[in-house]
Order: sequence, then C-alpha cells, then structure tokens
Amino acid sequence: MNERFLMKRKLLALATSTVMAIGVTVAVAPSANAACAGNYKLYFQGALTGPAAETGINEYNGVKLAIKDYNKSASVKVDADAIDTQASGAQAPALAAKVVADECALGVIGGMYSGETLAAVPVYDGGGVPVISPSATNPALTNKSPVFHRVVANDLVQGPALAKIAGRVGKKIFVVDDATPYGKGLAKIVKLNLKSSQLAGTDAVTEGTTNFSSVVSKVKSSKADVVFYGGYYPEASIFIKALRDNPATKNVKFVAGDGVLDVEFVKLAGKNANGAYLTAPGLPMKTAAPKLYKAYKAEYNKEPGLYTLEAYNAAYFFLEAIKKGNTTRASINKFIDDEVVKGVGMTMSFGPSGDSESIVMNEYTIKNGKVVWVRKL
Amino acid sequence: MEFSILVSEFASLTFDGIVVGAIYALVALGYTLVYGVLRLINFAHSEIFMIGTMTCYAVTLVLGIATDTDPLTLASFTLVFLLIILAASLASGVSAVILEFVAYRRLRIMRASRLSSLISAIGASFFLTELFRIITESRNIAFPRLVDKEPIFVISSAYVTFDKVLVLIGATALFFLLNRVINHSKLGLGIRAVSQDETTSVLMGVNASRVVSLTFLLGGILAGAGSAFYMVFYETTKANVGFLVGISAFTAAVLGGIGNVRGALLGSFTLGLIQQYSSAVLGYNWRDVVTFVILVLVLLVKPTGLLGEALQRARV
Repeated sequence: MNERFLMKRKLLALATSTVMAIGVTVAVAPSANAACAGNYKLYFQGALTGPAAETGINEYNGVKLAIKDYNKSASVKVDADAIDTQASGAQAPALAAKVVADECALGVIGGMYSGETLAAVPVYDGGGVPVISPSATNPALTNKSPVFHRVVANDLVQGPALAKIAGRVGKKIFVVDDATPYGKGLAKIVKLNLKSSQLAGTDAVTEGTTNFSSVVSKVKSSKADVVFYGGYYPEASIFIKALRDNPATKNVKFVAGDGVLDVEFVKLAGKNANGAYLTAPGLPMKTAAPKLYKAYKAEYNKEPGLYTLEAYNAAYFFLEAIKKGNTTRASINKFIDDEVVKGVGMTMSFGPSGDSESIVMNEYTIKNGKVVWVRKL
Repeated sequence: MEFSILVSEFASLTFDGIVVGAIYALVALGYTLVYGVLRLINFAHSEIFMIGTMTCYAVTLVLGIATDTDPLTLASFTLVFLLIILAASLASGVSAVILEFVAYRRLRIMRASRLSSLISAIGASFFLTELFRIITESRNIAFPRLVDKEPIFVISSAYVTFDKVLVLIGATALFFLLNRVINHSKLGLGIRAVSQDETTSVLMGVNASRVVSLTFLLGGILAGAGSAFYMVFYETTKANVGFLVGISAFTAAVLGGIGNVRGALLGSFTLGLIQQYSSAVLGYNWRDVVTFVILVLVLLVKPTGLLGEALQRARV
C-alpha cells in the first residue's frame, strides 16, 4: 500500500514493543526486592464500582478510617489499599493473586459478598494471606481454609431468623432467589426452616434481570401473602416494584436478607421499599458505636452503611495484631485464631472454623425512605 | 413444573409476552435492516439501544423530574413522553450513523472481509458499554414513574395498564410507518435495491453509502423509540442493558429470519411469548435454555428462520 500506511504500521509496531517492554519491567519488579520496602498494607476486597458499589464503598471507608486512626499513634505504619472486584466471582481470583504477590500485603478485609469470597479464598490460602470478611455470610465459606474468618454471623443464623419473620407476617410464603451462592444458599436455608404447608412456591431468577412479570404471575397464582427474596438490592428493587404494581400482589409482604439492606435499595425502589422486612448480622453504627459514628460522619460527610462498623472492626483486628509486633502473614493469622479483640462496639473472636463466636442478628425495615433498626433477634 | 399456571395466568402471561415482544421487535428491526443491506450483524446495535435509555434518563434529569415523584397527569405525561421518545430516537439514530461511519464505512469501501466488520462491530459494542460503565460507575439507574400504572381494565388474569397499552400502540404505529417507508418511499426503494444487489443498484444510480447511512439511521431511530417504551415500562437501565435486550432481539431476528422485516416482527412476538410461558412453567432460570433450544430446533428444520423463504426474493 502507500507510504503513509507503512509508516503507520511501523509506528504501531514501535508502540506495541514499547508497551510490552514496560509491561515486562513492571511484571519483574516485585521479585527484585524480596522483602517489603515501604509500609505494610491491608487490602480491602469488594466492589468499589459496579451495581453493588454502595456497600463496598461504605465498607472500604470503614477500613480506611480504622487505619487512619491507627496510624496517628503507631510506630509501624500501615497503608490501605483495595482490589475492586465489582463483587464478581469471575474477577476476584486474579485480583486476589495480586494481593498474594504483594510482599507488603499482610491481610485482607473482605470479600464483601459471598460469591467473590468463595472464589478468592483458595488463592489467599495458597499465599497464606489472612482474611477477615465483614459481610460474606454464606455458610460454605468457613471450614474450608485456615486463613478465612468473618466477624458476622453466617446464613445458618440469618436463614432461620428470616423464616421466622416470614412466618410471623404471613401464612403462605413464596421463595425466590437470584441463583448466586449467597442468594441461593440463603433461600435454601429459609426453605428448610419453613413448614411444607407454609411454602407456597419457588422460583429462581438470574442476576441482572429486569423482567419479573412471570415471577409476579407465579406469586399471584400461588396466593402467597409473603415473598422471600434471596439476592441483592439491584434486582430486589425491580422485583418489589413489579409486585407493588400488580393489584393482586400489591400487599404481599416482602422479606429479604442483608443483601437487600442498603440505602441504594431505597434509592432504586423508591416508595415501594417502605415496609420491607429485612435482616442483617450487622450492627447499626449509630447506636452500637456512637463516638465512631460521629467521627465517621465528620470524615466522610455521609451516613455509614450496613457493615461499615464490621469493616472498621475487621481492620481493627489486623491493626491490633500489627501493634503487638506481628508483621508476617503467618503470625497475624495465628493472632487472629487465638486472640479475643475488643473492637469498637463489638468484641471479636473466632472459632476453629473461622466463624465469629458472637452471634448477632438484627431486624430492620424501611420507613419513609430510611433504613430503620427494629429489634435484635 | 407447573402447567396449571399456564391456564390460570394465561391472559397475563400472554399480554406481557406481547408487550415484551413489541419492545424486542423495535430493536430486532435494526439488526435485520442492517443485515439486509450489508449482510453484517451490527453487534453494537444493542449499545445504540442503551444510549437511547440513557438519553431518556438524561431528559428527565434536565426536566427536573425526580425519581420519587408522583406520576404525571396525562397532559404533561404526553408532553414529556414525546420529548423523551424524540430525544432518544435522535440520540440513537445519530449514534448509529456515527457508528457506521467510524466502525464500518472504511472497511466496506476497502472491501475488507466480512469478519473484519464483525470484529469491528464487537469492538464498538465493548467500547460503548465500557464508556457508559465508567460514566455511570456501572450502577443501576432508576427512572421516574412517569405514568400511573393502575390497571385501566382487566381481561381475565391480565391487568391492562396504560404503559403497556402505550407500548403496543406506539410500536404498532412505528411498524406501519416503517412499512410505508420501505415499500412506498424512494429511500425504501434504495434499501430494497441495495439489499438485493449492491453492484447493480449502484450502476442504476443508487448512492449506496447514503442508503447504508440512512438504514443505520432508521434502525437507530427504531431502537431509540424502543428504548423510550422500555424505560416507561421497566423504569430502570444500566450500562449493559443493551446486552440483555440485544441478545433477545437478535435471537428474535434470527428466529424470524434475519434480513426479513416481517420475520423480525414474528420472531420478536414469538420469542416474547416463549420467554413468558417457559419462565412461568419451568422457572425463570430456565427461560434462556428453552429459548435457545427452540431457536436451534427451528434453525435445524428451517435454517433461514421462520419466514426464511422470503429471504431470497424480497430481503427487506
């Protein structure tokens, strides 16, 4: 072809080789300095962008605040870093491998959701990176790896609590899940805790769907007066709207777990969110740790979310370990396994499986567009 | 499996299936028109639809309609909806023309292989999805309730609401309009000519590039209008909304016979109904399994789709 075309091709080839050369240098760099040269790092794993970002940002804010508070008086400084999984199990393993490869990484606060955590834990296990999740509640997570811990009660506690609430507010319960490890797992536990006479029907949707009309038709024909949804708020907000729009299912009670409990749920579902029955193993920061709540609001100028307090405390556990002179992954993991740490608004210790030894479950609702704590269960 | 639901909820499932089918059809037409003229699957067409939904949302932002406001009165709804559908059609139409210019034109003029255009289409699709993912931080966007969704009347188990009626009437009007454009206008003649034989039509004095541009414009306008109906009906969007709708619309176009306008309509309504029935009987998560099994079976028996024979003679 003409000269210009050839020129372009040469330039392209040059650019490609330059980019590749840079890539190789970057890839080689970490092994050049074997020990951690700079500050130690604690990583947060969760969604900082994507449909679930609201929960992730609120958790990461908690982590950053804990580290900031710690650094004020500490001799060994720690940095906060994050891997943004967009809450996707497909992206989590590769990002987790990055953390494992980072010599300065001492631990991970996360993952935020169960699916991404299930995918990432084997990678952390391989690198011996200790993990404390503030919010992944799927029962299958514990008993798998010695590096995994969580500060919240799991769905074996949340499921029966949800089944009880569903039985309290209605007689016939229709169970829907989103086919994710979390949603499907929680729905299964709820179903097991319902009497067969209580179960009106079941359905499973897929994450990302917007068309709930066939599900609503099924709820309607089952004559259920309660719907349980195992899943997250992006779909839940569309589902509850579809239920409220159909005169036959307008007054059906909506029950869901911690995956739905978020201000974003209210934002997306609007008025329809009001009156939903929700649970979470998380504590409301405002009442459990009022001083921290004030500091948080001063720092970020916004309300903390569900699990902000848990994320703060998960980070706090790591920081206590570092404060006591543990600066290797192995010694920190041992510290986490053995010690009891009094955090802010909660005391944390872990059983041999990695599950939290304190079991907390709370009921929440949405009132006039606000998340309101109802009672301890 | 619950076959009883097919009886008890037959009317509501059918009605919703037709409404969903109408939205698919508006998008499917874009795939089929472009295929008819260029023999190219415009994989970025789903993103043209997504741009439409985002435009709808942007218009409500500009008008200051908050997500949680009460539904509008009929008069102001009519006005707002006209504005939305015009803006979305314009945005989608213009985007489609730009897309053709940037991603396909040069390849076509240089007579690049069809595979290059296909890759270019996929690339454009990724580019647009990711662009909007970054702009919206890939969050779900809630669209305000513009019109009251109390049922106007009830047919058996189906609640007939204003938004669904609007989708049906609006889509039908657009189908008739498209039919007129294709069969009774100079542009339509050009489209039909190029789709049958590009070389000969160019020799006869048809400006092929212009016809191609206008075909993209037409497809984009229909997708934009479809996006306005979609937003009033579903009231939500996100950066990858095009993928969900696009894959169904594309399937519908293939089911009906790609390149065939009537086929796209038939395929879309068939698909809408299959999806509703199968998700009610087997469960929602079986919907796509059933859909694609049916698609494969149809293609095994009739490789050119439901209205396949017409493909040879009148492509569009």
